[in-house]
Amino acid sequence: MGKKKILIIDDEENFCNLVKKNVEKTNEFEVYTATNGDDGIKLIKELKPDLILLDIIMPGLDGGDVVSLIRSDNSIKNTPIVFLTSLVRKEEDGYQAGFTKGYSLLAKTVTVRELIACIKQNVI
Amino acid sequence: MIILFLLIGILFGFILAVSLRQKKPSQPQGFPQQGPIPQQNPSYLEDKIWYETELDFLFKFNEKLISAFGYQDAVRCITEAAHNFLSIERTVFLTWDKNSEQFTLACAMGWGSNRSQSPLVIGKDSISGFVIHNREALVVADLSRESYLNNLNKEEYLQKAFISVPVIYKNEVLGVLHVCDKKAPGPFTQREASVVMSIARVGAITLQNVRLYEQALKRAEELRIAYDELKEMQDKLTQMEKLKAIGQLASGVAHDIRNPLGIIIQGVSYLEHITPPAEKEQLETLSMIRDSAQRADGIVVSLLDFSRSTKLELRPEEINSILENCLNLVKTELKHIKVTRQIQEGLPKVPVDKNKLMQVFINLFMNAAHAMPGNGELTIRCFLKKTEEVIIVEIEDTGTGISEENLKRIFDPFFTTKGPGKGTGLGLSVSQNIINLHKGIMEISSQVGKGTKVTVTLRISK
Repeated sequence: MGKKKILIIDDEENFCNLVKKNVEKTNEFEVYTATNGDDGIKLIKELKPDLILLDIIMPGLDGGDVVSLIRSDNSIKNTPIVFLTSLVRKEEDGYQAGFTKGYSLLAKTVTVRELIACIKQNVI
Repeated sequence: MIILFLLIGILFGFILAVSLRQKKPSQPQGFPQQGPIPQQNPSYLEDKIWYETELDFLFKFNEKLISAFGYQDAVRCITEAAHNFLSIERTVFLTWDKNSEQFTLACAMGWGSNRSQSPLVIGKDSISGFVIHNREALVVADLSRESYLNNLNKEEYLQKAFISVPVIYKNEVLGVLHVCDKKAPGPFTQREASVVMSIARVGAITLQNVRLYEQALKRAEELRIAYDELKEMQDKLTQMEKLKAIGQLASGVAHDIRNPLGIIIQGVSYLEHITPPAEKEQLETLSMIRDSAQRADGIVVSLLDFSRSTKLELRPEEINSILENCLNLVKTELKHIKVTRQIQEGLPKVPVDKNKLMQVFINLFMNAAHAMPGNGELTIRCFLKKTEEVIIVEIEDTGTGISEENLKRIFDPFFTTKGPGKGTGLGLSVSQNIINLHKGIMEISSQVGKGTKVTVTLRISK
């Protein structure tokens, strides 16, 4: 069985690259990156990832727009999503309101160990 | 010659003593309008001694009255003066209240301890009312024979012979002073009545002054309370404005600061992964960078808490289990501390925002842990106060305590006594804000060197 595909959509390119490096070092995942919502949607359709790490506040399509587009497309609508945001506490993966309701939330300052644990928990 | 003078002196002394003690028989009469007081054929020397005694007495009375402390003390001083000077059976002072048009017993002497304690209220249809209506003294030899007073309520304590004097200051009636004697062979003399009137006149000035002073004090106290209330309200408004400003700032800043912090943390993790374990110095440096980034993140989180401590998602929750969850989350920080639980079982559920309340308890446990760096005891009590329909949570430590000065500022945003990097000074103000949003109360008491107790009161119903 091949490695699971993770897509990270975040306008901070450096953040995307470092998450990619840290997650890939486990040898369990292949990480792809997109630095805006449009590119992210294209990659989701193309790659059919097993999990999306999605930033909320982004220029252009933001996290909420991306979720709507995913959920309205039958071919990708069941893709699991974990929000990576600067607006929650680390402990608050239970903080659920608005369009993030029902999804996991991670603070951007999450440690690599916590990040990988969360990916493993949510990946298909 | 000397012996002769001495004998004359003794004789006059004897005459004076007799005249002071004895009430001369006379017809009942009002004073001074109801006919002249019968002459007593006084000698010049007798008069002189009388006036000197009277002057001396009034002088001492004045002295005493000036130093009276408060209205009640002044009334007692007036009553006592009349009572002692005339050495009579009973003296009563009634205060007049013009609003309710009633007299109230203010002071009584020679009336038995039981009676003088009970409140006595008399309407204006009484001898007291008659006296203040006429605004002049009434001198009566035998009350039972005074037919013109029959239609009035003869106050039960009034005796056979009595003087009743209105206590008036500049047309304002303050009360009435009665002196009564059951055993007296006759009415009081004009001189005796004059002394009682002098006492009432001088007393009235003092009573009015004391009353004005007490009114001024009361007004000052009312002003002080109003000022304190205003100050408290202003402080609350300022606090709310601060919270609002910090909240707005927080959401904006959090995004911009946490993104680079996230990059630093991810970058450090990557470098740690690729650095060989032998490179200890490099690994230590990376660890320092990560710790600092996480510290900065902690500050951003505190600011975020401010921006979000305005809305609650209330659900019925068990406070005991929230407390247990929180204790579990901070067990590493409490490992050197003895934790005692005094938890009442079977408490009703309380409508709370679980996450926010957890934030409060975690903050309080962490503060307690910081106050007991070596070791200590943390006592957690949770119980129902049925009468007030509230659940009380007490978190008490045996730590360093908080000084009185710091206690006053303990809920101010950014106020902290912890060293740099150890606290943002937002924890308690956020916690208090969360408890206030629950319509609860958070209170802190502390003693330096003994410890601190935080009491959180939560209402059972919404």
